[in-house]
Amino acid sequence: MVADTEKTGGAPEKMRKEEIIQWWKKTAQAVGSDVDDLRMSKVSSITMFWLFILFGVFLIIALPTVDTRIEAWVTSLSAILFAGVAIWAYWGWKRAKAKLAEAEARPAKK
Amino acid sequence: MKMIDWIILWASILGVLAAGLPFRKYIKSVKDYLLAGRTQPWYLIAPSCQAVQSDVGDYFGAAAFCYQHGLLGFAWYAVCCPLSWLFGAHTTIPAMYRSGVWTPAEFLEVRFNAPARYWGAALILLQRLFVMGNMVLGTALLFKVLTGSSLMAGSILALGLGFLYVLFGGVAATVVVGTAQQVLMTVAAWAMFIVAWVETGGFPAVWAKFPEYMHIGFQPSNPQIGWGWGFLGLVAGVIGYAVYQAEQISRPLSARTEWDGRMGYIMAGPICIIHQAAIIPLGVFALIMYGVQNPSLTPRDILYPKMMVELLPSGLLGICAAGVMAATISTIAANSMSCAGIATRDIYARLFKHEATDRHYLNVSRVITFFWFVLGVALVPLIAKGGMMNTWMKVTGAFVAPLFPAVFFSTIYPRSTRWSGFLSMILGGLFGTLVIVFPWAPLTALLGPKLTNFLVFPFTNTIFASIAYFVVCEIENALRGRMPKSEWVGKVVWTLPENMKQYANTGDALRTGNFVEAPSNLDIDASLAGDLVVLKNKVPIYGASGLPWFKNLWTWTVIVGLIVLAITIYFW
Repeated sequence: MVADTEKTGGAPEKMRKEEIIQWWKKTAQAVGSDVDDLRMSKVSSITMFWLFILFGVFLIIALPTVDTRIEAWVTSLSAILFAGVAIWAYWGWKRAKAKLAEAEARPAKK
Repeated sequence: MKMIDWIILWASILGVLAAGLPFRKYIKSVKDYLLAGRTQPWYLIAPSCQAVQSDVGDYFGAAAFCYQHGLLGFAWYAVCCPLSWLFGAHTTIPAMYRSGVWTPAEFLEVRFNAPARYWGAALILLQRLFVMGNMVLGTALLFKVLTGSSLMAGSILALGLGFLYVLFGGVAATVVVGTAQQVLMTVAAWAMFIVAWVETGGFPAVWAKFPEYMHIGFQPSNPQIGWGWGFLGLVAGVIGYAVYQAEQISRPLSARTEWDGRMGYIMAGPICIIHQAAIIPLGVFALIMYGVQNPSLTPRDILYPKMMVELLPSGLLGICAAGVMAATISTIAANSMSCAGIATRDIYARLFKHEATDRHYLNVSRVITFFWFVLGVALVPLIAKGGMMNTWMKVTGAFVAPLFPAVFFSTIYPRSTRWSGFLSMILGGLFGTLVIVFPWAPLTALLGPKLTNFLVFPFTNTIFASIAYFVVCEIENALRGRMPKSEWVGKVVWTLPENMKQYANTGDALRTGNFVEAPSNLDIDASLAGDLVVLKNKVPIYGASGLPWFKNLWTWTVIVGLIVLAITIYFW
């Protein structure tokens, strides 16, 4: 398979079981520390965080203008759900930031 | 709509457009980021399959279809889509994963021949073109309800926003915008469902006043076709969706193992049922609000946006409208670019210009994208007149339904031949043309009104194309002899190619320790392991044998199948 060969290009043709595992571990580390992916992940998370903060604030501003009790309930519930998404995105941003700092501190292997 | 909603709507649209800006510099790595190699676990694949499946048509069109045909609209998502994913999980996905191909069109060429690839790609493009028209119409209808503007003005606005989205780097931000719009729309849909239930009395009220609309098996819009026939037509029309639709299939093919891809497909069904359950029943609640076939609901797909305006509270209305806009502009861009990719790679580069520079293909792709936008707008009046889902059913019945037998039987029937795919699709398309597009009186008289009804016709054409497939296979086998086994091993689901043979005995390998574990986040070269079975996260990267019962794909297939069966029986 083309994609497979590209990813592990340069690997010896025959290896023992332990060598294969070591080779994959090394490659996985290199892939896992791909700085571009981590930067992208960090930007995605923080963008998502601000988007849902924005949506949540909109709902809170609009809350006094609703007409019925059920409308107030669904608006409040939606605001809570949006806050949940924002917290999840914030957690993702913190995680990506920490991983990125770790990856950038590591000397380049390529 | 109050002033606060307008402010929220435009601020949210600007927010979504601006969300693309930080991503522009990463655009070179987007392909890798979205396709993710073969690294995705099943629990990410399952929701992403539903996200790919759901666009504006699945809100506006589906609710309107339910308003017209009763709970047959609910069966679309609660029965047919899950069944389609189950079929895909046990047919095309293992065959394609093992073959190492990435698109259904590519698979058609590997299994049949080049003409099957061209025609298959053309059929997929045709269906996606109508989906494009649905999305443009969706935005136009929303604007019509909000401002009273004409459909054409709304369509042009939708396309303008689509262009802006691409210009601002939005395509690179698909991960963010796609997730954000899904969350917005899901929350808003459930809010609408709750308010609509409280205001109308929900299912009990519809059962009491309009019991004939509460059946999957009976369509009050077409009583002459009788019980069950509309359902059969819908099953035949929708079941091929996850078996041949390129964007859908790309999800499980990005899985870290074959098992993850298939499991993700199986579990997409329950997610779809939960998601769409908030949307479709609004169609029958609308019977209480507006009565049966209210003429003011023209075009019919205006129902959902009209209910949005009437039911959603201030604030949520603006956000839901923004969600629709975000869904439309992001999907218009993604759909037109992916279709331009298929048209360039699978048709233009194969048929017209074999070896050209990347720049040439990029320019061709841009021209096709532009024409795709224009064609999408041109279809708006046609789709508005017939209704989003009704038009989809007609196009699928007439042309696309024959694609399903070709793809499906190629993965389970070893006697399939090189020309059976292309010829059965062509014959099916001709049959559909003579019944639906330009009805030929002797043929329609022979079939009768039931089998030619647009709700039933996908079933009729699937049966016709299946018969054509087997007839062509047998004639070709008789004339040219059977295809050598080496050419279909690995493409028929219960066979494994020579270099994957050890995966047929994964259970033995686990017992004897004859396996090696690979990191699950890595797209690996399995051939490196020689005769050892490669595991990722305790499952083999190919095949699915030797796993405990709770990881067995058939266990979950039976569970999802029973849920689908229970829904079908309860609402029959």
